[in-house]
Amino acid sequence: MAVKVFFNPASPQEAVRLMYEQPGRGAYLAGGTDLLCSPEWPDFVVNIRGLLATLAQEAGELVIGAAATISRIAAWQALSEADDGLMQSCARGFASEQIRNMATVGGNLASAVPSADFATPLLALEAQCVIQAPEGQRTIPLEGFFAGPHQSVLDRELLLKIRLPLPSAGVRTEFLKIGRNPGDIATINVATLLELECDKIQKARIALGAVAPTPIRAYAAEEFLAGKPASDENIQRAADLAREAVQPISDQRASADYRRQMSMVLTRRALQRCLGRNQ
Amino acid sequence: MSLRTRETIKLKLKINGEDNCFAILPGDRLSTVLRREGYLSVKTGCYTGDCGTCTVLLDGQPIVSCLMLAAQAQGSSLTTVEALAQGSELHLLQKAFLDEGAVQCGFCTPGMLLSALALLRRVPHPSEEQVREAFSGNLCRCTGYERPVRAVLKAAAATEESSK
Amino acid sequence: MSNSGEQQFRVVGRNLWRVDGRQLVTGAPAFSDDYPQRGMLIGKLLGSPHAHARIRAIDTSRAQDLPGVHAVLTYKDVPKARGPIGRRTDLFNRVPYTRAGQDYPEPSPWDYFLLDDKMRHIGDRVAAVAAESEEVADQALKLIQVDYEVLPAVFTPEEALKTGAPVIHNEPDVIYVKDPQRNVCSGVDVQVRDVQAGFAQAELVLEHSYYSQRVQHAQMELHTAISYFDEHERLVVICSTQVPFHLRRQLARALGLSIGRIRVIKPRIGGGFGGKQEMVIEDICAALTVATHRPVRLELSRFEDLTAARSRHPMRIRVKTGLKRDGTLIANEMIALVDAGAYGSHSPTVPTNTGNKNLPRYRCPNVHYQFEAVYTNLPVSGAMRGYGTPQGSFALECQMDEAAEAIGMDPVEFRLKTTVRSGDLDELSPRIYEVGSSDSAEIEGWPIASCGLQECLQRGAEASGWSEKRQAYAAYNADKPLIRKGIGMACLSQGSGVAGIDQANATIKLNEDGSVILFIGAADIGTGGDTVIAQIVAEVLGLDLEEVIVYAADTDLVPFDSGAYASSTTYVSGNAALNAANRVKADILKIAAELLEVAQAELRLADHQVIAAQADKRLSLQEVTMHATYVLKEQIEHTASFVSPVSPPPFAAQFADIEVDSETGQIRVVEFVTAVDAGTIVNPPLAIGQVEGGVAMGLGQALIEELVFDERGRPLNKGLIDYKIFKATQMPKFKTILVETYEPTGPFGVKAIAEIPIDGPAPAVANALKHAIGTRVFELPLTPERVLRALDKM
Ligand SMILES: Cc1cc2nc3c(=O)[nH]c(=O)nc-3n(C[C@H](O)[C@H](O)[C@H](O)COP(=O)(O)OP(=O)(O)OC[C@H]3O[C@@H](n4cnc5c(N)ncnc54)[C@H](O)[C@@H]3O)c2cc1C
Ligand code: FES
Ligand code: FES
Repeated sequence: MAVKVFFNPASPQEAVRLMYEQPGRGAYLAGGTDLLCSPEWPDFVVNIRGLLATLAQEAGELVIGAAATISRIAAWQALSEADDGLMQSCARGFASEQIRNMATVGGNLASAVPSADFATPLLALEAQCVIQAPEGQRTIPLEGFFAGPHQSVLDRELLLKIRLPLPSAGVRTEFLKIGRNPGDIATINVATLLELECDKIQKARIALGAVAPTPIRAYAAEEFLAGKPASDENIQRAADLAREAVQPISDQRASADYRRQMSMVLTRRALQRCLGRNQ
Repeated sequence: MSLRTRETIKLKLKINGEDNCFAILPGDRLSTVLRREGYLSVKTGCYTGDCGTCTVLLDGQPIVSCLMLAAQAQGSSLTTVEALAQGSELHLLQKAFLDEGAVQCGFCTPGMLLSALALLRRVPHPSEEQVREAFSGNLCRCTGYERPVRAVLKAAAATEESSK
Repeated sequence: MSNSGEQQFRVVGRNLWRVDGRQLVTGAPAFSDDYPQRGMLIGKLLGSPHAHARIRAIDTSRAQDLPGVHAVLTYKDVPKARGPIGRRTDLFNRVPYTRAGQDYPEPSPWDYFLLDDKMRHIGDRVAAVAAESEEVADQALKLIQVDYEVLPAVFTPEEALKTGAPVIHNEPDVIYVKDPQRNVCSGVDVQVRDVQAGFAQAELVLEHSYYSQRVQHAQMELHTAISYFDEHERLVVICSTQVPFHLRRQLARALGLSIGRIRVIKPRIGGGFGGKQEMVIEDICAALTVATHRPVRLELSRFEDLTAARSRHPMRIRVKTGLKRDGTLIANEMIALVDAGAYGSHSPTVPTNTGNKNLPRYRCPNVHYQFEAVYTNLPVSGAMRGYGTPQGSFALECQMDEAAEAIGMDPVEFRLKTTVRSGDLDELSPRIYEVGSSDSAEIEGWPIASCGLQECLQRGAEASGWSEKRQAYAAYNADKPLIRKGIGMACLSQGSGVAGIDQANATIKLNEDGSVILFIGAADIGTGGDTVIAQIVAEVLGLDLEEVIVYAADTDLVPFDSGAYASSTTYVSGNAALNAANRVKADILKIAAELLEVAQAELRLADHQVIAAQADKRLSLQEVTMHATYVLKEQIEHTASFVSPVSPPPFAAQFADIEVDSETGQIRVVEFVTAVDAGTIVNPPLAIGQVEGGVAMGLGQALIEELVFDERGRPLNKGLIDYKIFKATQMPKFKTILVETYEPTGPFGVKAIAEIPIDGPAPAVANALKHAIGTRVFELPLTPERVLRALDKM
C-alpha cells in the first residue's frame, strides 16, 4: 500500500543487504517510472537513483551503470559512435523528455516487460548483465536475463551494470518501433545489427520486443543471414523467419495477427535500412 | 504498521532559489509535497507520468514530480512556475503564451512553461521540431499545441532581439 | 479585422490577453483543488467490480472502525422513501434524479440514486468513504466486504434489445425512461415529407452503415469537488462544473436540501468538453460532508475519470441516400442505434443532435431521422464536445463522399451544389422539437440567417490545394507505392446554444470611476468565455478590457445561467451581457445628456468619453459616473437576460491531407485545413485556438482514441498510458481560415465556434483514406489493422 521506509544506501553492497535483511516487501527504486505507476507499492524502497549511474569506456567494452538515465545514455557520444546510433535511436522514441530524464536502463530491463524498449537493442548488441548478489557479483548474458512477462532472473539482487562488447567498426544498426503515437509503449519493436564484408553479411543480430512473453532474438533468421549476400531475397527470407520466431498475444494495443505481420515488415525494413536502402 | 509509527523524514531542498526543509513521509510523492507546501502551480492529472501537468525542473531538467518520491529529491534544487515572474513583471515566456493565445484552460500551462524554459536554457534558438519534442511529455487537450509552440518560438525570437 | 459593414470595433475582434491569463500563467490558485479547507477529509469511492450485480450483503463495520475514518456510506444510508420526502429520521431519502446538467425539467430519465444496491457498470458507486488521509481512505475501501449476486450483463445495444436480455433499469421508482423493460432509454423518429417516396424517385440509392466508437473527454483536470458547510450552515461546493446552477438544483434534490441552502462555486476549470456538464461526483462528495459535517475533497483517479465518468455515445448509423445522377439529393435517411451506457444522462438529447445538426446542412426534400438509445452495462454516455454531431457528421460526410463518387462528381463540387445557403430553411429541427407532428407539412422551417458554407468550401479547397492534390495523388497512387497519399474533406454545421431553452443573465455594476463589475453565470471552462463576454461589455461601454472585472459562476453572487454547453457561451451569455451593457450605457448617456444639455440621441460613448459631436461638447466618462454617484446618489446597475429563439448554425469545411503506410497501416496527417464561419470573431487567437484544439481532439477520435472493454465489461484502458490522445510531436500543419459572416441575432454578429471543429476530422480523414487506398473503412478509429484489412493485407 504505502511505502513505510525509505533507504538511501551508500553502496550497491549495502543496497542488496538491505533488500535481503529488511522485513516486508521491498523494491529498488531508480527512476520510479515503472514502480510508482504500479497500484501496489512495496513496504520499503531502496533508493538507487544516482548510485549506479556511471558511464565508462573500458578495454574492448562500454559499461553502462544500471541507474544511468535514458537521457544520459542518449547523449553519450562514445556509445553512439560504437553502435551506429542504435541506443540513441531507441532513446529518441522512448516516452517523453521528462520520463527520459528519470527512467533508467536498469529499471527498463528489471521490469522485464515484453515491450521494454532497451531490451531489443541491448540483445542485438549482445549485452552482459553484471548482477550484485549478497555473496558477490556474477555476469550473465542479457539473453538469459528475462524469465517471463514481468519476470527476470533477479531474486532481490541488484542489476549493477550492463557491459557492451564493442561491435566491429563499420557495424550497421537500426531500431524501429510501432506505437499508437510517438513515445508510446511499443506495440512491437525491432533492433537489428549487421556486420558486412563486401556486400556479404558476416554477422546479423535481430531482436524483437512485445511479440513474445519476453524480448527475443530471432536466431534462425540470424543464422540464415550469416555468410549470405545482402540481397533483397535473403533479407525477405530472414524477415519471414523472424515472423516465425514470434508468439504474440492480442491486447488493447494490437492483435496477435498484426504483431506477427509487423515482425516481418519491421525486420525487413530495419535490415534494409542497415544496408542503406531506405524503406 | 499504521501511519503514526512511520518515521518522518527531514527533506532539505532548494526551491526557486530558496532553501527549504519539510517534514515528509517516506512514501510521499514529490508532487504531493510541493502542493502541500503551497506550490500550487504544480498540478496533477494522472499520477502515471503521462500528462506532464506536474512537471518541475530538477537541477534544471524537466521531470514529472508525481513519479518521484520526495525523499529522492533530498539536497536537489527545484524550479516551479512560481519562479518565473519577477514581482508583477511576467517572464517573456508567460507573456508570449498570453500573446499567442496559448492558454486555454491553463491546467497544462505551468508544465508547458517549465518544459519550454528548460529547452530555451539549453537551446536558445530552437527549431519548431525541438519545441515540439520539448512538449513530448506535456499533454494538452485544449490547444492542439500550435499556439504554445508558436509562443515558445516567439519568446526565443524576442530573447534574440533583446540580446542584440 | 473585417466585419461585414458594421462599425469599427475597439475591443471586439482584437487579440487581447484573457482576463484570467495572469492567474493561469503564474500558477496562482485557480482550480478547485487549489482551495483546500481547514480540517478537510478525503473522500473516495468504491466502484463495482461487476458490470451488472446486486448487493446481497454489505458489511462496512471494519472500515468504520479504522482510525481516521469518519463516514462510510452505502445504499443503506439512502433508504427507499416510504414516507414523505424529507422524513427527519434518515440522513437522505431515496429519490430518483438525473445527473445530466440541463434545464429544468430535464429531458433526461430520472434513473439514478445517490447510492443503490444494484450495480450497472464496472466502477458504478458501491460505497463512499471520508477519512483523514488518502491512505486511510484507501485502506477503508479495502475493508468493505460486499457479497454480490452477479447478474447477466449486456455490452452492445443489439444484445440489450434482444428479447430475454437482462433488464438494466427494472427498479420501480425510475421515471421518464422510454421503455425500461426493453432497455430503451430514449428515441426520436421524425420525417420531413416522405423518404420512401423519395427513394422511389431517385436514380441511385446508396446505403451504408457507419460506426463511431466510445471516446472520452480526457480533460487534463480530473473531476474534483470540495464541499463544506460555511459559517451560516450553508453547503458550499467548489467544483469543476460546466453547469453551476443546474448542479445546485440537482444537488438540492439529491440531498433533500433547499436550493437556497446551497452555494456552488466554479473556479477555473481544467477542461470540460461536456464531461463536466454533469454531476459526476458533487452529489456524493456533498453527501459525505452532510454525513460528517466536515469539509470533504473528492477527486476521481484518472482511471475512474476515464472509465467510470462520462464518455461519448458509441453509435451505429445506417445512412440511406437517394439522388439523381446530376447530384440532386432526393432523400436522406439516418437511423442511429445508440449505446447509452448504464444511465440515461444526456441520451435523449445527444442523439437528437446527431440528426438535426447534420441533415439540415443539405438541400434535400425528403428526410428521415430516427434513433433509439439503449441501456448497456458500460459506462454512462454523456455530453461531449459536439454533442452527438460528430457521430452523425462521420456517417453523413462519408456517405456524401460515396454519393459524389457514385455519380463521378468531385466531393467539393458535390457539396457546393447540395448544401444550404443563407435564407434556406431547416425543416427537420422544428419537427424534432415538436415531436409527434413530424410528417405534417404545415410545420414552418427555421430560417438560416447567415451561412458562409459556400465560402468555407471554396476558400478551404483553395488553401488545401484540393484540386491539384486530388489529381496528383490519384496519379501517384496508381503505381501502388509504399506510402499512399490522400486528401479528403467534410463540411459541417453545429448550433449556437439550444433554441428556446438556454438562458443567460448578466449584471453590470458601474463603479464611480467608470469601470464596471460584471457578474455572469456563464461558466468559462477554458474556452475564454469570460474574456470574450468582457470584451463585448468593454466594447459597448468604451472601456479597456482591464476595466471590466468579471465575477462568474458563483451561484451566490451571479444571476442565473444555463451553463457552458452547446457552444452557447459567446452567443447566449454574450447576448445577455450585451443587453445589460446597453442599459448601463443608456443610463450614462441620460445623465450626460442632462449635464451637457443636449439630446441623449446625439451622444456617443467611446473611449472613456461621452461625445456630442454636433455641439462639440464632451465629458469624460468619469465625470459622468462621479456625478451619478456623489451628486445624483445613484448606483447604476442593470441585469439583463437573453433566451435565444433560434440556434444559428456556424458552418465549416475541413480538409485532411494524409499519408498512409501501406505495409504498417499507419496514417500520418500532414496538413489540416479548417475554414469556419462563426460570424464575427471577438478574440481571434482564442477562436483559432478553439479550432486547433477541436481538430486535435477530432483527429484523436479519427485515429487513436477508444475506450475498450473485455468480455466482462472490464475497461482495458488503465490510464492515459492506454488511452492515447494527440501529442505535440504528431500534430499536422494547421491552416485555419476565419470566414466572417454577420449573424444578426448574435452580439456584434457572433455565432458559436467551440464545437464545430471537432465534427470534421474523422470524416475528412476517412475520406482521405479512401482517396489514398481506394477502399473505405466504415468504423472508427481508423487503426492500422483496419487499414491493412481494407488493403486486404491482413
Ligand atoms: C509515461 C511513461 C512512458 C513510458 N514509455 C516507455 C517507452 O516508451 N518504452 C519503454 O520501454 N518503457 C516506457 N515506460 C516504462 C518505464 O519508463 C521504463 O521501463 C523505465 O526504463 C523504468 O526505469 P526506472 O528507473 O524508472 O524504473 P523503476 O520504476 O525505478 O523500477 C522499475 C522496476 O525495476 C526494479 N529495478 C530498478 N532498477 C533496478 C536495478 N538496478 N536492479 C534490480 N532491479 C531494479 C525496481 O525495483 C522496479 O521493480 C514508460 C513509463 C511511463 C510512466
Ligand atoms: S500527474 Fe504527473 S504526469 Fe500526470
Ligand atoms: S490549455 Fe487546457 S490542457 Fe492545455
